[in-house]
Amino acid sequence: MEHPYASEHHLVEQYLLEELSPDVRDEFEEHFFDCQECAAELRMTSEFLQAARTELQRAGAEAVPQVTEPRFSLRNLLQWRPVFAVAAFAACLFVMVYQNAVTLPRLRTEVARVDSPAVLPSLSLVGGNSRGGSLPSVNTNGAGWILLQVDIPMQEGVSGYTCSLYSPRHELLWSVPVSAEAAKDTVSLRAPLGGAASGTYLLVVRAGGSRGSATTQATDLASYSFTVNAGAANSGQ
Amino acid sequence: MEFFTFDADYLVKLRAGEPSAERHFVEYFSELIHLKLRSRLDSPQAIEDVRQETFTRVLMILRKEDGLRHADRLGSFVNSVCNHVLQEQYRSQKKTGVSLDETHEVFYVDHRPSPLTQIEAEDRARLVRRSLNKLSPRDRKLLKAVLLDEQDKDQICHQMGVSREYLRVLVHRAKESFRSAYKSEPHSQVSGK
Repeated sequence: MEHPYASEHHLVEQYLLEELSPDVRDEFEEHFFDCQECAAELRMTSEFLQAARTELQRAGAEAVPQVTEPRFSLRNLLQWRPVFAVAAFAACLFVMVYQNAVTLPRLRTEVARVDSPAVLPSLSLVGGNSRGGSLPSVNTNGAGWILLQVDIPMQEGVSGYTCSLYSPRHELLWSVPVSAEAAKDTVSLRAPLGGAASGTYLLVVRAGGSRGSATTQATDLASYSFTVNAGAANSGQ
Repeated sequence: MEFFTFDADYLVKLRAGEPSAERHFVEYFSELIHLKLRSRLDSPQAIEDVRQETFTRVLMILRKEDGLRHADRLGSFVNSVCNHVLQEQYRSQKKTGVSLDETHEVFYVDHRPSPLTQIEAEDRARLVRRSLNKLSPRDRKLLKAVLLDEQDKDQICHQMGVSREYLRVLVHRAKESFRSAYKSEPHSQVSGK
């Protein structure tokens, strides 16, 4: 690794925030043990972060919440008892009608849909990290979720993994923990698509939570891109 | 810490056991080893054990006839020995089921800061406070969440509507502000500079 690369990519910050993948982290360590400039920068940034941690902790402890008189106390409301009672009654009535007419029927329909058997659109991401080929795709047939099958690259000494799904707008939709035991086989995930928009989704597999191993914080192990066609009539791969 | 050239002369001094060279060597690489190990080992005792074993082995090899030949590779050599010691520690931990992290910590060393260290720390804290105050409330909140709350960083960034890149740049910006505050005060003494 060359010094300009480390400097340009803020590797010192990334290293201390534990954001680097194990490979890049090892490469950067190899570099800063030889590069006195990076070593000095690393020491300074580490000291700054440590001092900032102490300062923010101190500032948090000193920020005692102030007790203020509430503007609208119950006593104030009771002074307007007749007006308040009529308004409250009307509001309760409206909520009851709305719940019976709209909310409850909708919930019943949804519960019935979840309880009834259905064919789940599925997509296998096993071996889907290869470069050059086209992205695997799935048609949801209007379903809000799909079944994803993925192989987790095992890491020695890791007690668990996390699978995170990112939407086509790069927003995190959900994360689900996977135990090391479960990761020994192909993992099947029931994956809600958060509104099921069409586009390219990204499933990131991370290792994390192990002690005394090379990975203590969540580090990316693999990422799988796939496309979702939300409105199509036929499912496929 | 002063810049030192790791050249043949430096190696000769280390091999001869010259106190000033040894002191510099241990001081310089101790900090780097600490930074390297703190994300891999939790207890200070475990870090200390790996650090000491690394130095013992490095100095032993250096003093051999066919020890390190290229002085400019000294840093990489220390890093590689440290990796070996760490791997051995993981392996023995797997065999015995006992982690160095889990061993009881017994400290006989007086860790109370000296008056000079205390003054330096207070000075540094004041400059850091000034740098943090220059940040917007949202950036301060973000930094606090990342440094103090043990939440997943992705989750924090998602909740606050920023990217990981933004977080990285924020730390860089805050650090640069701290650096310029330090430079503008010639009487300050911050170690590691």
